[in-house]
Amino acid sequence: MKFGVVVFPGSNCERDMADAVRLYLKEEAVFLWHDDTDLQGVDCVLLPGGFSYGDYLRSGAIARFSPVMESVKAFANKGGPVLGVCNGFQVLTEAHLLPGALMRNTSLKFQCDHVDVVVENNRSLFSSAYQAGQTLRLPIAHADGNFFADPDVIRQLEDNHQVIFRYASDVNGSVNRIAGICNEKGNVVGMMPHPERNLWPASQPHGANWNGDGRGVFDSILKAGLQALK
Amino acid sequence: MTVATDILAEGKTKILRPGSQPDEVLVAFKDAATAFNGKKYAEIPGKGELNAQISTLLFELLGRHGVPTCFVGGGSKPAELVYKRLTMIPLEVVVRNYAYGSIVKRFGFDEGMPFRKPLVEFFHKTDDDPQITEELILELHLVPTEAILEAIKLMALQINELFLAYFAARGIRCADFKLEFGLDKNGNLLLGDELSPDNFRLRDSQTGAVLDKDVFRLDLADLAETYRTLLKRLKEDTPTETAKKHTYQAEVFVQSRKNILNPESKAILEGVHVLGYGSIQSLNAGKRFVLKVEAETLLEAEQQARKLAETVLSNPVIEDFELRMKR
Repeated sequence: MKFGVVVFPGSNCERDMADAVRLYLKEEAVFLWHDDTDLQGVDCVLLPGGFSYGDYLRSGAIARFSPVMESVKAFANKGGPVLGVCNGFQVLTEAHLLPGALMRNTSLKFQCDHVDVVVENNRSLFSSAYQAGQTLRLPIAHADGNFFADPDVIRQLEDNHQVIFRYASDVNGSVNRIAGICNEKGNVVGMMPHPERNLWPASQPHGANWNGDGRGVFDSILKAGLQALK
Repeated sequence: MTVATDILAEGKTKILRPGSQPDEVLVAFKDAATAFNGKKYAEIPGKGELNAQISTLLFELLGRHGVPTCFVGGGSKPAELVYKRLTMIPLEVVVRNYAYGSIVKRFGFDEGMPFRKPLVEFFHKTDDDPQITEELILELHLVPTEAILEAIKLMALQINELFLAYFAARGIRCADFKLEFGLDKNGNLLLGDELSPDNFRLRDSQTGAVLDKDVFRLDLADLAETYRTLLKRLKEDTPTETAKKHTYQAEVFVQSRKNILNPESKAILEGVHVLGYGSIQSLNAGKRFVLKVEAETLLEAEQQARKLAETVLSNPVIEDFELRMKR
């Protein structure tokens, strides 16, 4: 499978994302520059974390107008799998590929931590390798992760099981503790926690936080990709 | 003969009757000319029809450029038009590009002198139509909100730009005109009244010849003949006007939507209270964008700025914006 990692000026997790594909999945990863419109025939698009365009205006607001995003939109509208992590999630909401918006954390702080995240729906392209209700330990690192949408949009998200990941307890003020959602078709997923940063179990002082819980996101997409190839 | 009870209202030059639809009125233009607040009066056959036709051309011009007006279409007779039913705002809104008429007497301008910027004046529609300030308009509740008064002024200036260009392309100088506005049943602001030479001062750009009701006021020429000539000139095909670009200033204020908790504003407010400013009840931090927009008309510049504010500068999921235009 071929993965494309989009690089905006100010992205800073694109290497981690490409490493997750190359070192963990042992699949091909290419970088897609924000100025390019050619997706190079990738099977999955990954929008990494960072501070695209310095988070000017609003997080993700300017990245949305990059030439590459037109191609990503077309790819997503044709059912292609798209995952946005952290700033990537913010870009997806600004680009209207996902509903809602990410506001400043209620703490007003940049929160860098390990948190418990519950898998709400394990039938999505990016969560099928997990058990429903499974609790994951995942890193977060964001200032604007406070998910907001109007009550009827939230109701729709919940009724359609579009909430994929939910924080076990309140982290940043997100409505219904939402940590990750998908679009109606289920092929576009955005999440604030960083699965690509927790792929390798480690026996370090903070060993409990590095248990490989992020693997499932990448296993899921590979599983779906292999099924599609059959 | 029409039954008197059928008449909704009758003025010096128009009669209003109920239209075929409940939210419409039928406006019949009379063959009457009046001046000096009714002191001068004459019956002029054909004038009603001419005013209806000229109004139609000008309403259609505004409609093509997206200005909301009361105009629906023609009536069953040539001197009749169908309007949307409006609750009229009791103001005469006068826009002046050149000094003529009362402003010359009031302030001693040389007649025909161009103003540096178009002037907007308000007159209260009462017995002698006194001039009125914006503060007095609000004090007397002549408009429902201050925002509507702002919108009236902006719309008057937008209409002025369209008229200036339209008449200029036909060799006519649009010196001044009077507008009246009203609100439809949903509270939307629409241009009402009529757009006839009764309410305009129009001069031939070359000869200075009078092409409006001044010919009647000052006994210069036959009114019907003047209006007929004007209508002919307006109907003539003109070479497309060479578009002239202007620079307009727009200010966009972006704030978080009401009833959405803005953590940033809340933190600032808490700090403000700690500092002893207990009197500050609420605080909403936002952003201000100052834009320079190049466009042919204020209306076009406003539309461009609004589109930008809606699609880029604000995120409608969490934010509202306010747009202010400056010339």
